[in-house]
Amino acid sequence: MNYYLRNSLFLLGVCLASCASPEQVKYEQYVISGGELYQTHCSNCHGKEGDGLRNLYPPIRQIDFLKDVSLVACSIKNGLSGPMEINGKMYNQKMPANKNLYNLDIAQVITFMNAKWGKTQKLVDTDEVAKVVCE
Amino acid sequence: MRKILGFCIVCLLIFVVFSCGDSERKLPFLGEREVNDKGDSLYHSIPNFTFINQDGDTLTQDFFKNKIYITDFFFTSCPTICPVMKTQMLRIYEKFKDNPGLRILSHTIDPRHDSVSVLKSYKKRLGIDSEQWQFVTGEQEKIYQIAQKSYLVSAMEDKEAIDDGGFVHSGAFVLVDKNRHIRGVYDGTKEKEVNKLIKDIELLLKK
Repeated sequence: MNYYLRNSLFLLGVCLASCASPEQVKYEQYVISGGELYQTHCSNCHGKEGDGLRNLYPPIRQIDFLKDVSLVACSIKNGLSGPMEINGKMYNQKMPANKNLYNLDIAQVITFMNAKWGKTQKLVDTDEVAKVVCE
Repeated sequence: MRKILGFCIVCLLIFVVFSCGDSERKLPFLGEREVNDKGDSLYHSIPNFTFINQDGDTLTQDFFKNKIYITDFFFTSCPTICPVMKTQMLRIYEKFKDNPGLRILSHTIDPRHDSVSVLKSYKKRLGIDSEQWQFVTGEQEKIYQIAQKSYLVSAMEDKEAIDDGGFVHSGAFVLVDKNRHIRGVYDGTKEKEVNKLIKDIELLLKK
């Protein structure tokens, strides 16, 4: 019985996946790749679950400007320095520039962070990141 | 008869294996060992040192007299393994907070940037308010020397290592006993290794 149940669930899964729209598939792919990139490039400081580290590194899960693609993209590309207030707490730790990341990588990381901790479940496109002009 | 005997031997073996469990466990002495004229073993030990801590005060081996301590090498602007090491070291700090038998010593390997005030602010923002955990700076050469020759871990400047912040260093936590002997070296970036370190600290503290 268990065997049949498992198989039918699997089949159902396959059917559902095949019904998903190309946009949905692309979005999910961005979230998964973005998650992997986050673990490689961001989690050392910002934590695996986006909690940050005490008063040194700010928690990604609490920042309120995640949906601001240009601000987040520029921070990732060029790094950040100087004092910064997040959720009433002051942080002042230099964030290094991530020159090795392509626009696609950055788009995926931002999509992932928004999916996990932001309020928007929207795909951030590579073009959108490419268009950003940083100061 | 033979079966019974076999069974007894197995039982005895199991008993022996379990009885030399944690309580009997001994930590090794690491580093080169020398033998003196009398034939006694001299274990590798940490020499005297003088550094400056986050409050601008001189810190020497005397601060660790009759204590066991853990030491590591890091720098405040390190984007790679240091934050992970500090997360793990915080676990140890929280676990043994206010235990007078244990202290922690973190050396910066980037003294040009990590001045006394930088270390003070780093310690504060890490939420460390006790003297149990000291952050020290000093002459770069002396720090590298004590890392490599005494604590047996790697630490050096490498301008090529741009992605690593310009320095190469190990993520090791070194456990030093009351007699300044190294009793263990652990990977401070791995939770499992740090769990082992916590057990080893408990073992050393009992003595």
